[in-house]
Amino acid sequence: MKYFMGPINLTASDRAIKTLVRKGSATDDQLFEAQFGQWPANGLQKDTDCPDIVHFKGFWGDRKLNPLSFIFRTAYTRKEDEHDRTIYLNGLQLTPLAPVLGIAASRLAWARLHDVAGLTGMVEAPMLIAEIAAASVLSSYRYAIASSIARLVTPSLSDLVGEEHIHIKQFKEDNRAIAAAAFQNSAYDWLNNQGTMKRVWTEAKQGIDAVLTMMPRSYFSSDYELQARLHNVITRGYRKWGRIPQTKDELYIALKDVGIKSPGIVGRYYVDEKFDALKDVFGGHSGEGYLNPPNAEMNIGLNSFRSPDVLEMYWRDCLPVLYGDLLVKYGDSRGKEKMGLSNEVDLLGLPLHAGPDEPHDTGPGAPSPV
Amino acid sequence: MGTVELKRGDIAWLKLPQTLAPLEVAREQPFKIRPFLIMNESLPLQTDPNGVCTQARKIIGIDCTSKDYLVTGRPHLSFSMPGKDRSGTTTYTMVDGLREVSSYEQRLKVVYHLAAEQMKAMAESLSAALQPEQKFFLSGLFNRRAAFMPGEIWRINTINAKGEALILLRRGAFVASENVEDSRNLDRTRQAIRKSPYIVAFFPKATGVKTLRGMTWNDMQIMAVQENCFVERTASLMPATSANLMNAVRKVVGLPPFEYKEPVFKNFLGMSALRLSMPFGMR
Repeated sequence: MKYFMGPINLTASDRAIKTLVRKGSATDDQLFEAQFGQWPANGLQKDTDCPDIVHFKGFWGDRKLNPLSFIFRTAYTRKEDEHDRTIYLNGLQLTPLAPVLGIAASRLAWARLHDVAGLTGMVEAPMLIAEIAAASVLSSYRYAIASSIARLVTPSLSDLVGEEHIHIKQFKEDNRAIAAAAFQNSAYDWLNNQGTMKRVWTEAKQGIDAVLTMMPRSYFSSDYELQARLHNVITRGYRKWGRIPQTKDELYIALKDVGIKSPGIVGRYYVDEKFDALKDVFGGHSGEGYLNPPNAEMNIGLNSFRSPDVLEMYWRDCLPVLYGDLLVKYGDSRGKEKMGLSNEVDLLGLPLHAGPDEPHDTGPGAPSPV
Repeated sequence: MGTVELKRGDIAWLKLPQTLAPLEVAREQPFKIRPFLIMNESLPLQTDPNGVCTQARKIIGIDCTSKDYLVTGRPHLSFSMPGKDRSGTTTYTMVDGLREVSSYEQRLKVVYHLAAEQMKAMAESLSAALQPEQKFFLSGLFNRRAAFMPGEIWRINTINAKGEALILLRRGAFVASENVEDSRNLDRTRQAIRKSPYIVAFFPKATGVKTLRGMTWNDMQIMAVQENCFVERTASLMPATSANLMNAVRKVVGLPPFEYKEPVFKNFLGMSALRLSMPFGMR
């Protein structure tokens, strides 16, 4: 990886990550430092070191992989091998063509089929209608296209490596607090057991979303992928906030601030003046849900269910669990406690809530887990 | 006051609820003392001077049956142990069902311990049985009226359990031996029932269960039931969720977790909405 070029290095974190990639290996803490700019990050009560080594390798082709993976995969980790702490980066990124080819290889390429149609003169009336429908709130296309353009204009090596780094920590650590798709399956369980009319309506909306967005959206709603993107959202947000969220309220306000799709009850709850001080710290950056790829991809995942109830369920239950576990991965052993979680786990292997629910946990029509 | 430590492979006579017996039999005698193979790894329990347990802990294990109508001719693992009245030895067979019972007020006296080879055979059989069932990939399009499928939640009604229960294993899926040839012969000669009962996770307190998030072992009880106890289907869970629960059960009985593989065609076309709800009275 000595001659690694990488995409255009616009940010300090990209340059820092590139230095580590050129070295060929780095510790967990070094990678976090490169992404956050300082380590431990402000606000993080780190009490555990993360000295494990992560290696970087390029891949040009692998018989074990699907041949198309070389075209469509920017990076991967081998979750099946618990001893392999290596991030494999697409060899195309070793060349000066990385900014263009790397983007072509991104999964979001599917989302650009709409634009190809437009550019090749297919803008006839039906296509125009389809484009308008796709860009409307009927689908997640607006998130996909915005993040896709953002990746094209400002490709980020930091995001790429950060995401795979979190995957390594998810797959390789003994304590797998986050199951691959426990929350996702739980959400589908809940949706499948609604009344017939509600189920048909939700599935119709999901169908429209799937057709208009033209990409596998549910991929982004799995627990592993959401957590990896949540990490990148936090690292990007940290540069603006100056510290990382340490409580549930801080997390919710911060995520809402950077444009993560939130249920109405969250907005209503945080109107209160008592949260003004928090909003001064974690506020003023709305709209980034479209402009930052990790934020947009989180939104695609959260939007893929097309259900306000499931969105609320995710905010109430899933995001604090993912973030609490992320804090533990950063080296704060009390991360889960800070998110109001106990060390006990439920039948799905996910941590239980420690105390009574908070006010925003019991909104009207809130789906009950049991 | 004393302490008894139950270990995996121990067999003790325990008072078990009659969830498998016909209704008229269960009404007469809701509980019956039967030999029970303990599957908890280690379970220290306090007892009074008479050896009766004073603690309420969950014991998970397997019923052992001698001449019961349920087990005759079924694939089995045989072993002999002293009878309840110690009048002689009896040959027992497994398996009637995986179940959990409360240790409270049970007389805890270990009368037999399975040999290492027997335990190994038992673990292999259990491991083969405790797997999620592969479903037909188009099943999402059809209304499965005639079956009680793993992953479905049913309202059940037995003498000892009234409420909702998640089906873990279907009738016939739970066998204690891969070699079924002998039992087939027995079937032909004795015309006996060969299939096992359903294994369900009963939720004593919860109603309207739609997801397992937030539920713990204390919220459920593994038990074996016959199909005549199923009253009404109330919900169904994703195969992956059932697989998660199955892995939790495997962990408790000392089996390694299996890796759940998503079916190639997951929820074909996403049209689960086409499945009609089950009309009243149709099974």
